[in-house]
Amino acid sequence: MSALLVGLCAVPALAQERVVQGTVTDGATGEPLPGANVAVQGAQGGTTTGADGTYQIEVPGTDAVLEFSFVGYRTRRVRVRNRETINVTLRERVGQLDEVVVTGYGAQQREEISGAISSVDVPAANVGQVSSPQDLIQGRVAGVSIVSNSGAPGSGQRVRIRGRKSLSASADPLYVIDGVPIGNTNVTPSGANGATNSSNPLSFINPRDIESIQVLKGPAATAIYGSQGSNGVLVIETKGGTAGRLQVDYSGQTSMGRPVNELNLLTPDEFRAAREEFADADLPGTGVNTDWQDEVMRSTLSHEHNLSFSGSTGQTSYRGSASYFDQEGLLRSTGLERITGRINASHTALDDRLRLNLRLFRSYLERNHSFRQETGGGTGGSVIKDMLTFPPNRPVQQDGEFFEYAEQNRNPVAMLEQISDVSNQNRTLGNLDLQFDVLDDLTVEGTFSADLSEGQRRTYVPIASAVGRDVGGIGRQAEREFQSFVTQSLVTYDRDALSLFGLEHSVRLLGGFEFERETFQTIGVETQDFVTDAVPGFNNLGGGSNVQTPSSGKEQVDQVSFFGQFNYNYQDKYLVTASLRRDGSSVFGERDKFALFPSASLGWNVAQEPFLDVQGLSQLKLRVSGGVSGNQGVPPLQTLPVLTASRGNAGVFGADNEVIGVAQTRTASPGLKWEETTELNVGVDFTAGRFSGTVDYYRSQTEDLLLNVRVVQPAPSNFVLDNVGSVSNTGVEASLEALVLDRQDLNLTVTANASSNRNEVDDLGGRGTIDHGTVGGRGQSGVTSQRLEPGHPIGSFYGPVFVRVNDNGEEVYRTADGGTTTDPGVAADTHLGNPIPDVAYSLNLDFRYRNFDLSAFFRGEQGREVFNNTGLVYTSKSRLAQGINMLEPALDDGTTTNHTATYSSRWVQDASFVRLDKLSVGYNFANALGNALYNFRRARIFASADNLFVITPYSGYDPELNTNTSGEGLGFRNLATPARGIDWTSYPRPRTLTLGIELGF
Amino acid sequence: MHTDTFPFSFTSRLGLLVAVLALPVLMTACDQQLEQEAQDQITPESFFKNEDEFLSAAAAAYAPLRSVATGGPFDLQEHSSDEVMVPTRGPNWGDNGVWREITQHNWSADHPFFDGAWTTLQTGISRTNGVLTSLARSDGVSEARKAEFEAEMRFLRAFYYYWLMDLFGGVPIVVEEGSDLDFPAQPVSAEDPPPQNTRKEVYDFILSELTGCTSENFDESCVTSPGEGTVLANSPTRSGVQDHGRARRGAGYALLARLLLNAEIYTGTPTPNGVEPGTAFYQEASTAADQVLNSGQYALTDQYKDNFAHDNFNSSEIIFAATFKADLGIGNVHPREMTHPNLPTGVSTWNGFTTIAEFYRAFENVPSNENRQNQILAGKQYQQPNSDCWAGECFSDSTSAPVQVRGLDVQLNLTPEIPSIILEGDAARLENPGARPFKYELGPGPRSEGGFGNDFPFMRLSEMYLIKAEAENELGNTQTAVDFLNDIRARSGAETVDGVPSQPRMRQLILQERGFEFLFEAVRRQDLIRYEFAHGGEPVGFEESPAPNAEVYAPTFTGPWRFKSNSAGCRALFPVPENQLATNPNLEQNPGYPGCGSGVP
Repeated sequence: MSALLVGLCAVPALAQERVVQGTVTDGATGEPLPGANVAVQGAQGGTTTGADGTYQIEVPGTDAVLEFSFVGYRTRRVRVRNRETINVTLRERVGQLDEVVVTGYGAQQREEISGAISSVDVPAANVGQVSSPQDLIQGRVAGVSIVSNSGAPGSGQRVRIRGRKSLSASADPLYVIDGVPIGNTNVTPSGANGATNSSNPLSFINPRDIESIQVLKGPAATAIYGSQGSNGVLVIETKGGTAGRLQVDYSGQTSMGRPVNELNLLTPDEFRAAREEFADADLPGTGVNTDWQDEVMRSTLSHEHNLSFSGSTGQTSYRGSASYFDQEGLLRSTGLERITGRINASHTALDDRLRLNLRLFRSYLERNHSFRQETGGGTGGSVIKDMLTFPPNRPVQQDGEFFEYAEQNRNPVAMLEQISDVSNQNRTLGNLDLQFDVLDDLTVEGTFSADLSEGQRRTYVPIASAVGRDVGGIGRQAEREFQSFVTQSLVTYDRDALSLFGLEHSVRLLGGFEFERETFQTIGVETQDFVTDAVPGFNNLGGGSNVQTPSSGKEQVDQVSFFGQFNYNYQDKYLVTASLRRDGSSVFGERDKFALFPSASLGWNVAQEPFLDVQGLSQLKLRVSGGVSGNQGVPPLQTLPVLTASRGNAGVFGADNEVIGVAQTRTASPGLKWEETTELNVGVDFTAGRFSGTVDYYRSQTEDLLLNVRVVQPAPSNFVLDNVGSVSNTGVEASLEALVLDRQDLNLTVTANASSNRNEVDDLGGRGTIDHGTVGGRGQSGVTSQRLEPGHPIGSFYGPVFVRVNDNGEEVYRTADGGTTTDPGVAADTHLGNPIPDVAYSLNLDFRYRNFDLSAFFRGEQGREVFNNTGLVYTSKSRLAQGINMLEPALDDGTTTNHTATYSSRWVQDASFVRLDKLSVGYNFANALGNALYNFRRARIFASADNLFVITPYSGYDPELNTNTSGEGLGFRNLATPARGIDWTSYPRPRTLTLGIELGF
Repeated sequence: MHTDTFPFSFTSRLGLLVAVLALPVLMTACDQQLEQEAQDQITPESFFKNEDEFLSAAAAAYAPLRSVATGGPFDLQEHSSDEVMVPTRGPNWGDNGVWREITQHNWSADHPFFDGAWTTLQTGISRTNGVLTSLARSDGVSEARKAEFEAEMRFLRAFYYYWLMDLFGGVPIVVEEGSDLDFPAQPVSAEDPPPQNTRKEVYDFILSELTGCTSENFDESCVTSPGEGTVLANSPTRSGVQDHGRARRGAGYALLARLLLNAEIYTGTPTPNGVEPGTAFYQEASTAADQVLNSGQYALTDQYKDNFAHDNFNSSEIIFAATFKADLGIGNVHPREMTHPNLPTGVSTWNGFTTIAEFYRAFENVPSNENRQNQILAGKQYQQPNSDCWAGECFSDSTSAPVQVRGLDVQLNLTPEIPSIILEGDAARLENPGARPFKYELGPGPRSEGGFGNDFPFMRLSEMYLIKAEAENELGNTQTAVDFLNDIRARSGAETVDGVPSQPRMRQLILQERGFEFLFEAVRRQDLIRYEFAHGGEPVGFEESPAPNAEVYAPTFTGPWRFKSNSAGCRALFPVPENQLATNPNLEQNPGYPGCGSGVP
């Protein structure tokens, strides 16, 4: 490093002040634009164009960047270089065609892009209750599907770009923040009793710090990320310093949430009547009326404060921000608290030839979990399950103590109130970036970044609680730590006007190297049998006499990459991009450590051609791209025959001689390699007057799927990880933006997105079919709801077809020969639909009148099914016989109390929906009175309603939740074949009303 | 930084370029070329250095025995017999019909228990093969200890193969890498999958590993003077309680005795109608049992129940066992499977396994047999005692508070009668039915969710008595047979047999006695099959479901009992699991499958 610093100090600057002149014209009409602003980026002042559209401006050097802006037009930035005349055309600001698109290893103008990249309109999305960056994206980008695992604050979200491409390796996109790929590992340890809580790896980011989000979807865009790109890439840039004097911004808001709907459980009176009618035994505990949904769920109050300051002095610009966010969960005592702090600073030196960027970020996140699993089943049971089944004729409390009556049915209020189960996460993300223009067109860049996150979870189940009573209390502390170090070196040659053959070409060449090391560590300690509840046991684990088996582990993955990219642009008319990446990862076999990922794309802006002279058509760009990307989300050490020491394999010899067992527990797979996705994308971008839009068609095929296949026995394990099988995704995406009204004081912008993805398993490498999607509930062991089978999509529901309930109260199913049977074993199992929507769409209306703004965001999905596991298990009169509550439809569905809950098409339900996701109204004081009276730079108040209503035939809490995560995202490079579209005692999402204020000084 | 005071030469630009670019490369160069470093696991190269490390590897080779004793192999051996079943209790224990299919002999090759049992046993084989390979290569252990270790591991492998052969018949024999034996060695691959051996070949392999002889040349000398380098020749003798849980010479002879007793079945030919019996080795079986009986290292315990105590490692009778340790998280889950959730055991329990009323009542065929009947929990349940008590003694103090059925003000009352295999009605009707073969002592802690610390005996000395009885009865020495039978009866306090019954009568008494003595010890299916197809092939049982007070309780495997009607003889072998057929193309399905006649009434 010292050599570098010496080198820095030895570099001087050569001031080359000069004058640049030129004309600014309208891109569509060719008319000169009078009154357009021309300024040197980062400097004060500037000039405007004259009546003939000409300008003249003094610039500090060849490296200066000129910024051309005009109301209603898109701002353009042009580097001066050696030119003395710079003529610029500006285009009307319509649609998503924002100025600069950050594509990871560089930035491009939107019109230069020939791959499939979507930008999120961050300011438009950043209203109301936005707790994570994904909330900004949901529904706003065609082809991106985001489904929450649960309504619990901070819980995981499943982000799929253009369909699921992997069966058991991670299907999450790559997240790149400020140019650095970050880890996506959940550091929230699982709780005592095996409760696992998915966690959103991005919830540590304050959405208000985000400047832009780009979604790289197509092959040409993602292939530059090689083995990490096949699931798509989300490129997030955080806000940097602003030019000029200090700006201070504050925003604060308060949200109130309420349950959207309740499940239709029997009321206490209905329950008593039903018991009398259907179950003849005496009913204990009559006389009390308890609505357990009311007792467990509450109205929530959340608030958020953001403070930021930014500005620049001389060569340095900076932005600092801090935020506090406190969100209550719908379930009593659950919630999330987040504190973040961020400093972004940039310094330029050596006549702007050297640019230094420092970004430092730290967040603290605390979650209060319900001790029993918030969703799903698990051995510990779930608090929602307790809420649904606890007899309504039993009290919450009796004689000052929580009422409990049976081990497998706990009082859910007691579980929430008595047991402390808190996790916290700390994340520090820092990166230092040096850019140096070695020559006018040649820039070298070095980036060093560290991503350090750790999560703790502390649980205490008091002796006083029903769960802790038998074992004298349970105290537990667990910790996970994830570290990722990335270094990057980039060399960029960027020539705007390269004269060749008498024509001007624009060429950009990029070469780079990247090294990444990921480390994941865990530890967990638990003791039981405490003397007192006076101190939460996790603070004094030594106070428990019964020590449980401790655990710890460490895993590490190294990756090196070399990549290059070539961009060619002829007058924004012909565009060529090609890239090549060579990735090596330690997780793969000796022969397949490295792989190549190529891509190419072509663009042709037909509107620029003289032969296409259509009035108002300023852009008609045809794009075609193809490429190969990979997925390497494989756990380490799969290729080696390693031995594991464990207590589970211990020998117990003699009276008390315990010998820890050492065995190879995994069959080595020495030939393991990457999953490879080959994708072709064809697209059109157009801008015509007030309309702009994009249509893309893609087809991808993912091969060499990482999948556990059976091993010939005898072998150390039943399965081995291998590259077999393939999956394809085909889809169409369209987005349209229209400036419907455009008057002086009034305008209305309408944005619409629609997409359709068809997912199909092509081959499972000789495994035939794979059943997954475990059905939850007692007596359902070994029952699965989904089947992977060639010719069907991932997540296809599979089971018997329900016909009716017969006169004997039995369910009748279809047999293979078209007849009927009451025996589900005899019934013909068949594919029953799938949770992938035929069409996903959204509509955003953005309305402005003087200082008022109003926006409404609708989102919907059509043609999707969800397995209502909650309905299956709790719509059954046999619950009455056990003295527990059930769902009301069971009263008159014709089944008897002998009915055994059986999975069938009856519970695979249409879950199409339309949702008013967000409705917000704001008033901007700035021009009305703010400036003059209070000296505010800006002042705005707003109100916003989230999740206002949902129209759906689905009968569960929410058609969009997915609870069966089957190990997905629960640790470092977990492998799982998770289910999708299963609603099993899900944690519902609230409807929230938010009031807020934004002030800028 | 006063930038204008420094020279800015081309060389310094170049220097900066190199510096910026070189840093990450230098950092990477410090690393090996993407080598994987095991952080929390062990590479084989760094292990197997000394005896302690071998013992750890051996421990892991024993570990699958726990799954044999409580998982798929156990469930198949017990639930397919009349001894254990689990009715569907409303929403519980339906589990897609897997339990009912086994009870009613209605399984097909895709039943999940088959694949589970097969792979559990294969894991054991794979691990023993692994230890044997490393052992042969290691110089960290003395030759003498090496030979002992090797004998121990080869016994263990033979034991896993015995289970596979008993349940599934013919399986591929695969030995350790570097072995002199003429069988495929591990690792096996999908490109060259191992061929399937016949049941008799597997049987001969096991006999040969133990003694050096096969069924082709087996005689008493193979038992009394086993061949050089065999398991029996090299096994150390049991040196005391510290050897509990490890395979010693006694275990080798006990297994040999059991194998020889069942020789007619194992050397026989499986057919769609059952088993064509093969060679009998009753004399040799008797001799093998003598080797254990006369070794002086084992003795019947005073009390039958001592063998199932929480500290049953002290039992002088247990020859070989799967060992459990609750506080290591490797507890015995059997007590949980049978115990009602409302019983105050300190561990959540599953309210499942029962026996049928006929089996429970059969104990009453023999006067003063309560001692062993009491290993089955039945009747009204009370809060006390719930610790330091054995099976039926627990929860029996009628002066203590009653245990209530969950959610009802009704006392839990475990009734031997089970109205139907799918129970209906309120909680009491779902949870009361069935006497629970509780078997074990409920010790004083620690109890964890992992289970209990009681070990599961695979072979006890009392089995050698009953093998003697059975073998001598077949050899015509009925009086000797009665003596050995009476030894076992006397130990449990039951009334002994007077006089000398006929040979067929004696067979019935022995089968019945084995039911009392080895309840829940995973031999019942094997016994029923042997008594149906061996001994000259004459079924010993009765045709119809036994009356509750039948004098002798001796059903046949394919015959009827509660919830089961006659099933086809091919049910005497389980089918090769469908998943295994798909993985190894050399495997062939057992005779009669699919389409083997079921026992659903």
